Amino acid sequence: MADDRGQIAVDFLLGISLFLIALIFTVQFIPGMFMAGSARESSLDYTAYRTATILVEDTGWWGNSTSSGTDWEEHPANAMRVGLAVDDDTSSRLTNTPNVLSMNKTVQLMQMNDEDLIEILGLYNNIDGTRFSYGYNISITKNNGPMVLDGRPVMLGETAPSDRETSKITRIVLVEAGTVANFDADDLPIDPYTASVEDTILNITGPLENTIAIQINGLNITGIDPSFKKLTLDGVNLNEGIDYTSYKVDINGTISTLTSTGKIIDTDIIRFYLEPGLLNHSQTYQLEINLKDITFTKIAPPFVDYRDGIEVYYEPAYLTVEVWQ
Amino acid sequence: MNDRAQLHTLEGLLAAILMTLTVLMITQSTTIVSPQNELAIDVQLEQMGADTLTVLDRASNTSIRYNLTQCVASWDMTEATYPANNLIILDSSIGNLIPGILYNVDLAYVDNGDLEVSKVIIKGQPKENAVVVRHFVTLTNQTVQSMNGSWGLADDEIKVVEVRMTTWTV
Repeated sequence: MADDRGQIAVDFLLGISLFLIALIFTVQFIPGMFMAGSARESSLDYTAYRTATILVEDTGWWGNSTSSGTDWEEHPANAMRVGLAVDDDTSSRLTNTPNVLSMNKTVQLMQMNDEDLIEILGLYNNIDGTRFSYGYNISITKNNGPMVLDGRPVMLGETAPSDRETSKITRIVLVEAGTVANFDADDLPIDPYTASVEDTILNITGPLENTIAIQINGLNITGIDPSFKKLTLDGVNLNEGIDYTSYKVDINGTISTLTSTGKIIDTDIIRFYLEPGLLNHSQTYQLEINLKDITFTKIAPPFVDYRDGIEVYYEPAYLTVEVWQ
Repeated sequence: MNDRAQLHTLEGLLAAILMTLTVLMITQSTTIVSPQNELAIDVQLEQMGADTLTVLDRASNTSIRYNLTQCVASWDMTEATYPANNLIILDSSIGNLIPGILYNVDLAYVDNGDLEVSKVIIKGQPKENAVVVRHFVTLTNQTVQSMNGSWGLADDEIKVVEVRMTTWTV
């Protein structure tokens, strides 16, 4: 008689039960093993999103026992939140200026040390009471390069590692990048020294240490070859590319260099950047702007001063927050 | 003595190892796109779209040539037909901010008690992952006149226009 005890289901049942119990135990207690990480990366997603939102949409807040306000960049030691959005009323919490970033706040953020930044932005995770800090990289870029504020590129944290999964979010922002003096061509006078209606003059009161930007709109085209000829400072010719750079912005917002032969049309804005160091002394400089086939109408004096047209200039840029474990 | 059960044990062990290895191999080799991961991609796209409209709305004329209100004010009231679009200044402003992302823009406004929806920028047929972002602008006749638009508003009239932007990636 054949021995058929091996056919009994109890052996099989015991074996498969043991196997299943072992498998379930393993899956339950090592979550990262079978799921290619859902809990881990999504918490990174939230952190990146939250950090970018705080920086871009919030003005920040500081406070001590006696006073408080949104100008935390003046009181970094008492900062509670470190939003970068600009604010002209520092005493209220009511300002809503998302996506417009303050230069002073951004510069102050770059001066904070690593530990404070991780603490205040909440760039850490608590696992069973132990704190693990995330790696992070916060940067503001434009034209694929880092944006430079106050002489330093805006780049915080470390370079993202290539061997680990990171979570990244990019926000489009306007960053305060200095000032520009904006004039309407109708307000600028004819240069009384050359008496040419194609030349105008602008008073600039020194000393000015930074790059200065001057912009003219509403040009009156009167000839067939409207173009830019040269800039003269107190009678001395300035060198393009060394002392200044010149651009035109067309109706679609495209910026191109304003070479001396480039044609200008009436919807264009022309813009000059004067390099630092030209206007170091405490005196009034006169900047002559010589154009061709573009005329001015006002009679000087009075002259127009650079400071009269000055306004804050915001530049479109990208703020990127990247975090990893 | 009967020792056939020994073979059954070894077979069982081997089968168990084989099964474990198979499961491990499959789970490790494929990237599981969980709903959260997909959500994060949508969030980024929606955020880019919302930011674009916010930035255009808030920009002063020294940063971006014309803000959102001015762009909408300059509209000539004719609908776009693909591939031409008839709000070029808005198109180039958006294109400068989100290179590589495609978008359609519709304007929705109330005219004589009816809701009108007009296409002004058409870049193609939105894909499955498209998201819509919207922003409201308020037009006055002064803005319209300065931008040479054709809204034909009275001097004491204001018009609220919804700018709807559908964005997607390819």
